[in-house]
Amino acid sequence: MAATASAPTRFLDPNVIAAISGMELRARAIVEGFLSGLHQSPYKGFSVEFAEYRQYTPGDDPRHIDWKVYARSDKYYVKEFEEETNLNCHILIDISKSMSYASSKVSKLDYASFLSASLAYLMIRQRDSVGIVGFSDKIDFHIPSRLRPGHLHTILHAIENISHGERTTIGKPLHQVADTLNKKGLLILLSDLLDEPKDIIDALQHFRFRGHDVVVFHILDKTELTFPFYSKTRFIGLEGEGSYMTIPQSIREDYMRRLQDHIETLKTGCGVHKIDYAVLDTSKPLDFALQAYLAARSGKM
Amino acid sequence: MPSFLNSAFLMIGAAAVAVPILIHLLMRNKVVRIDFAAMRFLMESQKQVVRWLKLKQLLILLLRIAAIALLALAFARPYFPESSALGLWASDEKEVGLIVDISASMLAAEHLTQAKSALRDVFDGLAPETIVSVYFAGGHSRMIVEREPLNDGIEARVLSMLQPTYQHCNLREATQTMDDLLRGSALFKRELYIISDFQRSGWPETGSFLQLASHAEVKLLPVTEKPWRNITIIDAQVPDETEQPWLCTVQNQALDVVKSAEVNLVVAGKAIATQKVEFTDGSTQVVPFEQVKLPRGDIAGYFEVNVDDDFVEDNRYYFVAQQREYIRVLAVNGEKASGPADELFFADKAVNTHGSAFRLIQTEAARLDRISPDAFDVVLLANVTGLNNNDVQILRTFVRNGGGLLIAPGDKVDIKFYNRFLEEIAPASLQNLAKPLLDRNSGDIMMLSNIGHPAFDQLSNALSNDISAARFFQHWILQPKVGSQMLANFGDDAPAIVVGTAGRGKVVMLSFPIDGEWSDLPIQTSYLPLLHTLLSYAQPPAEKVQFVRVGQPLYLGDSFQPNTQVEVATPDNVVSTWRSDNLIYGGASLPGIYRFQQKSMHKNIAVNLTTEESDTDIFVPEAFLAKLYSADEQTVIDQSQARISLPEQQAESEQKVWRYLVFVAFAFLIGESFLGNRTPR
Repeated sequence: MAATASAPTRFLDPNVIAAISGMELRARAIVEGFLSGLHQSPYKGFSVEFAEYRQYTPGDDPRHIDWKVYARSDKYYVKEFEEETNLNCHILIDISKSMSYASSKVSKLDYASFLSASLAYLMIRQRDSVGIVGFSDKIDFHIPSRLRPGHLHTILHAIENISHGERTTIGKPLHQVADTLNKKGLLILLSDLLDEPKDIIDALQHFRFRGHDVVVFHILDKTELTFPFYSKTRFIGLEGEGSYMTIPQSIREDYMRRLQDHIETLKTGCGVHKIDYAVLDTSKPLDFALQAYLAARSGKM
Repeated sequence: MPSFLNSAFLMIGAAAVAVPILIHLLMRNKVVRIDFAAMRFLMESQKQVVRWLKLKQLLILLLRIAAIALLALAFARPYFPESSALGLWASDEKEVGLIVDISASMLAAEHLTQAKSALRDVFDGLAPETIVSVYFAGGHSRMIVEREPLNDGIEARVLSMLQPTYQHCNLREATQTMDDLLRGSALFKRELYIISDFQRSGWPETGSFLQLASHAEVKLLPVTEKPWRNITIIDAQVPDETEQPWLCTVQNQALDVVKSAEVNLVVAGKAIATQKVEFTDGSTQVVPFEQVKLPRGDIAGYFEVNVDDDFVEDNRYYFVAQQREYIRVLAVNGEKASGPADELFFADKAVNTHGSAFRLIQTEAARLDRISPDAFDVVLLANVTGLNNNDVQILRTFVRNGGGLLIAPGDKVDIKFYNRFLEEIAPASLQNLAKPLLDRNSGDIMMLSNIGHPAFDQLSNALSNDISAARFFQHWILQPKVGSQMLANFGDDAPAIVVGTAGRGKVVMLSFPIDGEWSDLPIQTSYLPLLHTLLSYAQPPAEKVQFVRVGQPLYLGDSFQPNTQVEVATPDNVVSTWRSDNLIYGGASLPGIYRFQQKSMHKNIAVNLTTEESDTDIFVPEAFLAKLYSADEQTVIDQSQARISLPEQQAESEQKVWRYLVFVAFAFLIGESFLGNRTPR
């Protein structure tokens, strides 16, 4: 047990990750933990394209000093290169109030944050450009995809400072995002998808129409999946649906049926449009989502 | 409205009812609040569920409250007082029970006629279809009619069966029986009629008072208002000895009317003596009959008082007596000869004297099979050599059944036979001869060692001393068995007379013969009384005379064979056959002489009326009713009371409303459990 606990893979546990401060550190821990379990390197070939010169400052690698410029100007300039990306990725993260639901330490939004940070970290490491969009009933923030050094920091900073949006309205912001993305790429949606399945599928179809590949991570809390309530309970909607008192025992069957119907509808809709769809339990490790990403990326390379 | 015996439980129940209400209210407020995201899956169905849930919880609450309330009501022991009784009780229908005394005293005066008249009046006063029960009390008391709707057929049937018995009546028992029946009546109105002469003897003092549980209205219908004239023979003594007087006890219960009467002694249908009795100095007189000369043997008869009274059935007192004619002795002669040399020469002369109580019949061992010992009281083996096996078996049976045996061994006996075949019944075994024949002038003497023994009852002191005058020249040495008694011995302490028992019979064993061959006893004055007293001792005891009342069982005694047919002649000369394994005849329903015959055995048993029925002391109605108590032991029933008020406890006990309440409460609790298990909290 001690060996297991000290293994890097323990950082795939959301509850462990939540105890780590700093989104970058979290992302690194997750990805390193995840990669330590892989035998084949996920990194593929990449190219480097010149971007600009800048004045040498102590600490820079002397190998990057352009001696021709020094000969002409008698000043030390360092060549900077724009790394060529393999894949253009966008992470769409749902930050509506319903994502703040948590039956344990990790809320759905926390889980989505960990996952999006991990994905961004992984993408940057393998030279994929990554952007991130936060939305609720509208687009709350949008960081376009880049591969520049320091972009990861920008993304992680944005993730770390996510604040809750309003009600979940997936269709409208996704359509907006779809209209703004010109370059084809990979789109990863992290959401609890508590909206009308038809609107969700329509929006995702929009991305597909524009040539994007789409991976949908349907993030749900364990209690949402199992509904383990017994005593008389007053449920209060997080998005202003009001409160309802009920006997969970008596409606569990009905609840589970409706939830499964919802999931099945989404799953079927995604399947029709060749969209990868996976339900993620916030109590489960994060590696499943990372595996899914790598599988989707390998299909594009 | 119902009333309650323990109304305190109502208060307790009211408090207890609050418990489920409080629990319900407390549980209702205990709601978990949860912020939840997936509200879209809850919102559509939960309203209907909550509504149905509230309804079920309310139903459960009501069931709990109802169950507790019902249990509290049950513990409060509710009942419906008469005024607000159920419709069934309020109806005019009633159930009637009639007790009719059919004891022997109802044969007196006009009692029977009055009883029939009263019975008709009761029937006439009842509405058709009234539920009626009729109980005949007396003798084999029985329910003649049990809960039948009244019709003409019932009245005719009861009147035709109304015939008094000669037996006693227990009115307390009869009242208890009818009360038990009426207690189970479905009707509230109940009436109990008692038609009787109300003798005080009909109400046993033991358990004097009777609690009535039926709450019936008790109505007494006496067949007479005053005691009847009655002179009765209540007892008689018939002696075994002819010298003693016969006694007859006469009781006059009408002393102011009858001053004297004649009492006859009737034997075998013939009046053999008459005595006059004067009642001037008391109501009970003992009438002696002196010098009654009766033949020996079994006799049967009665005393009868000749007087004009109201109850003639108790004017006779039947008796049987056993005046034994002879003690029958079967003497087996072991040495038949002529003159004094004959073994029984002296014995025959000593026993068969004129006026003797003995009758001695002689036979020989070889001819013994031609005579049944059962016809004799005592068998005498006089110097008998031996008997064949069959005779030995018969002799053993004879003795075990009560017959007597006198063994007088002499020079002819076979010592092996005696010690082997008679060993079972003989009180001693033969050892050997004591000594050789001596000079006639000397010889041993015999002394009585146990003069107080019953075997010497008929031997006076003078004669007992004379026994020592006899000289014995030879005798057998006897070895007494354990349990036997030595009554006489010789000078050297050798046993001379030993007695013992075998079964019910007695055996006397001498160590010498009863002729003059070994002694000069036969010529001594003590010879005759000694032989008489030993034979008398050996005879079967006289059977005790039974004094039996009507209704009591008759025991035939051991002389009858069980499981063998017995001819029975009842006092009314009806002859029938009967057999029983215990020889107890239970059918003595008439006073008089019952005669039983089985082969050569016969027996007479006198049966008389029970003296209680002769008693003219009667209850006045108020005194009788004072014996009856209502069940709560508070209310004494009196004749004027139209209805016994229903005591609370008795009403509650009878109605048993609590049972229904508990039943319903449990049904509610079962329903609550069923519903509760299917209702989420």
